[in-house]
Amino acid sequence: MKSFIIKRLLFGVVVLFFVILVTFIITRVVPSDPAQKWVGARATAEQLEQATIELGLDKPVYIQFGKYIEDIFRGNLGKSLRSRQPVIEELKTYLPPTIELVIISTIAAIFIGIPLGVASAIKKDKLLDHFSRFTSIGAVSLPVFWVALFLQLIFYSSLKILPLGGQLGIKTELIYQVPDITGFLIFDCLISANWPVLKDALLHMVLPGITIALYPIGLVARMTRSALLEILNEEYIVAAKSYGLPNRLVVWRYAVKNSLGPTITVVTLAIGYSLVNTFLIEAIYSWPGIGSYIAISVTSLDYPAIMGVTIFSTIAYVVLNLIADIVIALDPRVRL
Amino acid sequence: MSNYFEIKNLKVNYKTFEGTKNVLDIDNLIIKKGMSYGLVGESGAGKTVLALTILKLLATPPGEIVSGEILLEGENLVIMPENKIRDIRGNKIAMIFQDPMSTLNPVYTIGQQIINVIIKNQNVSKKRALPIAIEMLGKVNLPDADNAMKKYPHQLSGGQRQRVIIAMALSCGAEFFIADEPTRNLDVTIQAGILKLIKELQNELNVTILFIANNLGLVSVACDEIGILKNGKIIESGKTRDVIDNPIEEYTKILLESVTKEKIGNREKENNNKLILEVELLKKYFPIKDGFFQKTVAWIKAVDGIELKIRKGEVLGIVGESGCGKSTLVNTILNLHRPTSGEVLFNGKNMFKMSQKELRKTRKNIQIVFQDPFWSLNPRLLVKDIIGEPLKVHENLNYEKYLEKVKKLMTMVGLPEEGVFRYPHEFSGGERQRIAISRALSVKPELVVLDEPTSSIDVISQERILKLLEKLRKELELTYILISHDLSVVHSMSDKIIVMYLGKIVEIGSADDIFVNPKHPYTIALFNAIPKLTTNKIDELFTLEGSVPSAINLPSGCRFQTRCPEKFKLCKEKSPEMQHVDSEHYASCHLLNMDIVQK
Amino acid sequence: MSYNNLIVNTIRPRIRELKISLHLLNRNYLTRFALLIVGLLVAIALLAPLIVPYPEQIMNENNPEEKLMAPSAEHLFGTDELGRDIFSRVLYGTRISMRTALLAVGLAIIIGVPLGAIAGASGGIVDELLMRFTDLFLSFPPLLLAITIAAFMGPNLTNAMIAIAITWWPWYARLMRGQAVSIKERPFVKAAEAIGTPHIKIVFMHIIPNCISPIIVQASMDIGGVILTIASLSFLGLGAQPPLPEWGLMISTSRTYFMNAWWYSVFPGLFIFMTVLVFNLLGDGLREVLDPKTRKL
Repeated sequence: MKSFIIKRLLFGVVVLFFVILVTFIITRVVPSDPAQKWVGARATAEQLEQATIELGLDKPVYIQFGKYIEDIFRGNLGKSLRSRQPVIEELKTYLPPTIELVIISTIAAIFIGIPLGVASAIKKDKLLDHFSRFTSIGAVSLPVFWVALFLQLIFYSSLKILPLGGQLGIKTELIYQVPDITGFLIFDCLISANWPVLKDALLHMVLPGITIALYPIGLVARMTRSALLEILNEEYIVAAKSYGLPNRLVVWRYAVKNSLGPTITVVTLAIGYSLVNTFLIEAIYSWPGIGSYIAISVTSLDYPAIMGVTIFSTIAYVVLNLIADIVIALDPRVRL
Repeated sequence: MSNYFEIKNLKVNYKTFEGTKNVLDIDNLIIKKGMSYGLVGESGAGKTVLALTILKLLATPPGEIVSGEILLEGENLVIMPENKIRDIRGNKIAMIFQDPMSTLNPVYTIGQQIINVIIKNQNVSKKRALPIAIEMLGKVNLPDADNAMKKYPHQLSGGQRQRVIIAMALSCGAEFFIADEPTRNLDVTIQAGILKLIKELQNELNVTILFIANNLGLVSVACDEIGILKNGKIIESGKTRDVIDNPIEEYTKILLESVTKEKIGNREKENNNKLILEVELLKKYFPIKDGFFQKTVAWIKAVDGIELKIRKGEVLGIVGESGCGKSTLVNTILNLHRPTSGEVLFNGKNMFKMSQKELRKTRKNIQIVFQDPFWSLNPRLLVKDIIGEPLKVHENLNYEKYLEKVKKLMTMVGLPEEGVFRYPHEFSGGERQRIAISRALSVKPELVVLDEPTSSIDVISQERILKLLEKLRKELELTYILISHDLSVVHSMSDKIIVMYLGKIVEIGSADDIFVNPKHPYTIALFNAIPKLTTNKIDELFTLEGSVPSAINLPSGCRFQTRCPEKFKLCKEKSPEMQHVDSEHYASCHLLNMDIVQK
Repeated sequence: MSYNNLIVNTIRPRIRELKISLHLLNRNYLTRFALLIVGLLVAIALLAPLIVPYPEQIMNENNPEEKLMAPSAEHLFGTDELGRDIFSRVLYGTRISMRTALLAVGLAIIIGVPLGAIAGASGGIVDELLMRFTDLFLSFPPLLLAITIAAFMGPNLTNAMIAIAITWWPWYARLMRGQAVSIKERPFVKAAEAIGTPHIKIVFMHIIPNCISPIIVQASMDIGGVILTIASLSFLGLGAQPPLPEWGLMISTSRTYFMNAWWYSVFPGLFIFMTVLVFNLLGDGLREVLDPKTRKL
């Protein structure tokens, strides 16, 4: 058990190293003109030369790589070509709104996806199961960016009951003092008891929240259903029933607990999908998060920014998976 | 008074892709209170379906109860609503399952599971449930109950787990037990203990038992009445003694014969043929790795110094419980494992010192037939490609000659030659085993290893397969190594038998010597633990204390001393040497060395 | 027996098996529906240049007088900002998406399956190294690696396809390895070893044929996912480039006009949804039929 965690931690370090290596290869070795990419197409010859020195491109590859790692550990992810601001600073400001969305989708995945999957498995081949299967398979088949546009068409354009995008309406921003303590708007509103702003913020959250939550709900429901069905077929479930234990206890305490491992794994995967789906929808909702940031960076081929987001998100994802693996390792069957 | 438990005109169907199939059709089955009823049938006869139907745990679909009544104390379970049947489950009827490992929930401790059952069925608080749980575990003779409560299922041995299952059934407070092949996955010496326990509980607590089994021997000692189930119908029933002594149906007679096999073929006593296989001081240890650097911390001594010789034309039987090392021994002889030390000489040549080319030639001469014909044939290949695989590897034939040969092999094992253009799943279990045999024989091997060749096929086919094997042995001058847990199979076929325990041979001798005059206490226990039709009382069965120790931490001195009923001081200190009994009969036990015993 | 008969005899049982599988697939009405639509989509993809009403409008044509027209009998899905018939473009988009998805999945299989088979069949240190290497690729959040690779290799459809294959192969390697490990333990492989069948032959004769079903199931599911990914990359500007009628790209362009021209974004989106959905349904159905665990006869 202990040795498993140590092993897993060490593998985490290897993964990080590999991630850095891959990004290094993609950005510095594969392109024929890394310096050009680093400073952008409109840079002067002077700037280009300076970038060559700054990136160490005149030195051998292994020294370049050493420099690359050093820069990452110092938080030096270069400067955005668009804004000329350090990427790391921009990430810090864009992060909280994205985390808000990811948290919403995670909550939805856990509290809607899991029960949906469980209900589906228990009522296998009944109406509820057909409904839930079709919903979840539909949810994972929808292009999120299209859902975003579609929801705007209905709820903003036609019904006019929800805002088009942004975190707050212009009126709210003008009339009220918008709290900025942690950067997490809703959290800040709550701790400063700023109800009008909170109401507006929540209203703005509805469409992005629904859009981002769809895929995780479908994914988690599907996986939970199949994991649970497999366990419900096990003999110990039949045995538990034969001892007269009530169905509720058998399903929730016996079966669901046993399917926890695969469920945790799929929830982490769902979080990964949510994170990347923000890249596709934030720009549509003018949501000031990482997703909008990378969407603009991609369009303007702002390489330092793309790189920064990649490295950052991957590190976050690796850590998340590490935690999930350790949680699963607490399962007595893995503990063997 | 009406009958305690009764089944009337029960019909159960299974809906499948090919249509509806009747799996259960029972006219009448009556069990009186406090009696035990044994239901005997082969796999697929509908035994488990019946057990699940009684408790209404049968999955529907595909199952469907078409008609009939299941009466418990006059109440019809078939039409009972789900919430009422839940009170019957556990409270009135409890089930003891076949496979104790998969019946226990792996993520909860024994204590948690048994306490859950007690809380539900006896309506007590968690605090009160704890002592009851320990009491129950004591009742089923589980040693060190306090400690066992804190363990997870995988930390107990098979026999212990089955005792826990019985304790769970007991804690329900039920008066009617359905035991579904409760000893199927247990070793014979442990099986006897479980049988005794069930019988004791029946006598002490006056519970009624429906005992389901695939072996008449088991049922005959444990039950007052028996019924024979075939294809979902009870074809014969009555008092146990009556059915066994005067069977009416042909099928019952076959079942009876399967328990008491006669010697197949009589062999010339003296066999002075040349030695085909010599195993010398063979050892195979598997390392156990642990820790971060995967250091070897211990060894599993699966095979620990085996010596044996087989002459051409002989049949050598290997007997022992699971974990005794017989499979490892065979795999090493087949060269699927490298040995840790020792030599295997095939026709006088050391197999572990051969060149690759020589080895491949030798391999051809040693073939194996596996236990389960369902998994030993590649489901994606046509039978012609399965039987012909060795031909493709070792002989260069053109297609027509190849096909001709395959067809010949097919007819040799008694199958129609058109069958070569079919897939294995289109054949029955016995037929598949014939295919496996013909594949093994296609390259004309000298030595064939038969690994439990009849244990996964139905009784009727068993007999025929054994006869086929004997016929082929004579015709093709084959030599067999026969592994089986079924002593009657070993006895009926073998010339020589070795008995293995924990990686060592404890006794070796001619089949008759071993059967008539066993010397080692383990051999004696092994033979007397198996219920025979002549066994009248369950107390005549031999049981061994405890379970087989692990092959990692071997007991000091004699390996059998932890369970030996005859153990004395020396056994703990010194490992016994092989003692000569008579002619070719040897056993490794201190008792045989009279000098030591007298001291 | 004549040679002809021989061939018939060898093929007949295989056809019988195929018939049973098809019958099973057909039994589930959802799968039947999916199979039908997939067939239809494949037909559209193959015949696109022949069947679209305005083949000349697929690419660059500019009809300013017909721009952003609402759906009508003439233009079923309306027209776009250049006056091109959206119905024709969406149908043609099927061809683009299907071809790219098939190539990407095919490439992923070609990389992943042999690696997984080698890892599973050989075991030991080779297995450990190959699988850790595979795990490394799975440590990236889904899609992100594809985005980065596509961004740095230069945005176009081929690069997007390659990027997707690079991110997808580890799943096949993993699946294949798991299969190989379990099948390696089956007695029929042991029997082949005892016969002396060479290792490489065991892999191709016994291990790979028994792993094909789960790979097919996975592939049919993945085609849906990959189509979605291609559309997503194109939407971000990292996949197909104008004037290609790729669905994601069309939705991306439609954003500028979508408040006034709802049809512009809605129809390509519906096509993505429908295509992905039917492939997912087909995958589910195939799994139920081909997976021995859920296969009910």
